[in-house]
Amino acid sequence: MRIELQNISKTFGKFQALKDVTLTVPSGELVALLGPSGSGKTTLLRIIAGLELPDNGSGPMMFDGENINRCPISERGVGFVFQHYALFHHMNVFENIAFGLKVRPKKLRPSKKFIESKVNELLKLIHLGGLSNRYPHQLSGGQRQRVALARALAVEPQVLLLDEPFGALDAKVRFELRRWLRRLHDEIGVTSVFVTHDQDEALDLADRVSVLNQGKIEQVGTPYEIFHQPKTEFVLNFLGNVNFFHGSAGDGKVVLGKINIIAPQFNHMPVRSAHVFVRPHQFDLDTAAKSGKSMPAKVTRIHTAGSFVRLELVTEENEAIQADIMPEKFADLAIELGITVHVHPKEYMVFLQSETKLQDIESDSKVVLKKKRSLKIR
Amino acid sequence: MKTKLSFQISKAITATRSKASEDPLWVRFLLITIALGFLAAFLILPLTIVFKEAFQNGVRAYLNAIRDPAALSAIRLTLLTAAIAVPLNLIFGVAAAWAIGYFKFSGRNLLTTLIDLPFTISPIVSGLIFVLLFGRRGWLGPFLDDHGIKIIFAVPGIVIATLFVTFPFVARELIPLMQTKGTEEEEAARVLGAGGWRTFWKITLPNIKWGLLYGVTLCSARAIGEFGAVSVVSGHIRGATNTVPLHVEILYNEYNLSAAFAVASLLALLAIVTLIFKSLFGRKISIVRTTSSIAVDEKGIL
Repeated sequence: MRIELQNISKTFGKFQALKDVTLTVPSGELVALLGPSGSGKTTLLRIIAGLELPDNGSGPMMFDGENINRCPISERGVGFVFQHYALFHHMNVFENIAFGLKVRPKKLRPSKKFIESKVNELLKLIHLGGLSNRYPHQLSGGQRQRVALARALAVEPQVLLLDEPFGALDAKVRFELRRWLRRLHDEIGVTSVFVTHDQDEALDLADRVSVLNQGKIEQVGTPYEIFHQPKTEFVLNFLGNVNFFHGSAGDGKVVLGKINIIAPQFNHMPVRSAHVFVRPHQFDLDTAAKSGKSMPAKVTRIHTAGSFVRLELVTEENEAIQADIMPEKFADLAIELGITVHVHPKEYMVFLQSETKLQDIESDSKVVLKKKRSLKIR
Repeated sequence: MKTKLSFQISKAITATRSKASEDPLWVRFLLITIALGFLAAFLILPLTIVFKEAFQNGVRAYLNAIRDPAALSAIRLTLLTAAIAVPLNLIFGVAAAWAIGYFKFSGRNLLTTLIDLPFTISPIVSGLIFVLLFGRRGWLGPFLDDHGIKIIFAVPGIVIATLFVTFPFVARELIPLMQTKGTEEEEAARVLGAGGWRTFWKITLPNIKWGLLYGVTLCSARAIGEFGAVSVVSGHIRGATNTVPLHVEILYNEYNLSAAFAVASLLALLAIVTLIFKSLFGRKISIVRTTSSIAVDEKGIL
């Protein structure tokens, strides 16, 4: 089932949650709606389900080319997994999963036997075969989550919508369920959309990621595109840690601090101020200076727990930098707290000032290390 | 030996401390005595007297007082009034709680406040409101007179006054229940294909049923026992517009004490039955609340 949304807007009182959002979900794909809280991602999901109505003047919503704007919730054929599962707590696991089939109009209602075999099949799928008589409050978070999913799948939806499916689970369960959901999706191939604020989850799980910010879609693309070719500063910032420099670009070069980088793509352009971004792993470190290509920085903190070594550095201008290097390199250079090293950006991303809007960057500080956390909170 | 003793002492101290961690013994003793003393003096003693007086002239006199045509008619009218007022307030209560709990509309806070009006207003005033509205010299009096409709000093007036006095009970009980529960389960049912009615019967009602029964119990007790408002609109016509509480008053004023207490004992019995149901349903509600709050807690932790 291919989903197409055109120019969808949604206003709650004075707050505009969605602004002219257009999105296509190809049939059979698993798509993530990624964004900070308040970005409108859940609202968009609820509009697809029919739990919210888009504003008047919004464009059509189509399932396989068929306009569903006026189609009531119960006839849309969607499965919805709520953030807190919304299991019917007065019904046991079996009754929860069977609900969607039991409430069908008499003509379309399957026989009791069929319902029973269908539920048992689903119970097997979610590995909860022996727990059909348990009530929701007798289940763990991960088990509830799987029951919620089975309940949504029981009606054989053409579209599966999941609102922060792993948000309420602890890290280990979350990771296992993520893998399991991906396998499940590959098996049944139902077009799925899930909402998350966790970029790792989106990049790991989805075929395609749609990044939302303040009610607008910033970028849609494969996880690779989103991570390596971010189209806006917001996307760049939201997906992982990044070092930010106020610099300039033009005349064939990019300048950040004392570093001059040859950049043929700016050959025929006058110098303009620019925002230069370097991810921690894009820095190269050396104990000797490369004139014009590196800047000196003092090591202030070393984190060695992990598959790479994370260094916190301070430049001569008192700006904080974060750099990730391989443990071998760390050993070779014999890096210690307090010594001065020379950092050189191997790769970088440039956003010319006049063309991009500054929304999420503190423009008064010269260099800001963006951490994922601080963005999420906003 | 010395160390052993000091060890025992310290153990004893910690034991008493952990037991009486809050208040000294005499404070607890005093508070419990006061509470139980009040209960005995103002609740248990009067209740015993009601039954003692009722059976003063023997079981036969007791039964005769209840079998008296005027008494039977009062019982019938009271039951009729409750049978009309309680279902109507049930519908109103569910509708009001649904609206306040699930929808956002202007005037929502006003509605929540107004629902409590019958609690805050004196029952006499409640009765007078309807006399002023429907009475012969009231606003609608001439219109009703022209069409031969009698409300005040007739059964409809009693029903209306009872409705007014008892309408907060069900709504009061359900509003907090629905507000804390939220609408997610209903939404889940809708997405799964259930229509509005089915969602109400299968999802909402099972979730609120104990609160609903609790509210209905309180509402019924008040509908049967209401005196003030009903007294104003009834006209005290024996065998026609007398409810049980009004009948008790009439018998009492006629110095027919044993009959008055015999009929009153019916109301006292009702009160006891109500209390039993009330505590039963109340316990169920708190069980439902704790299980669902455990669920919420786990969500929070996980």
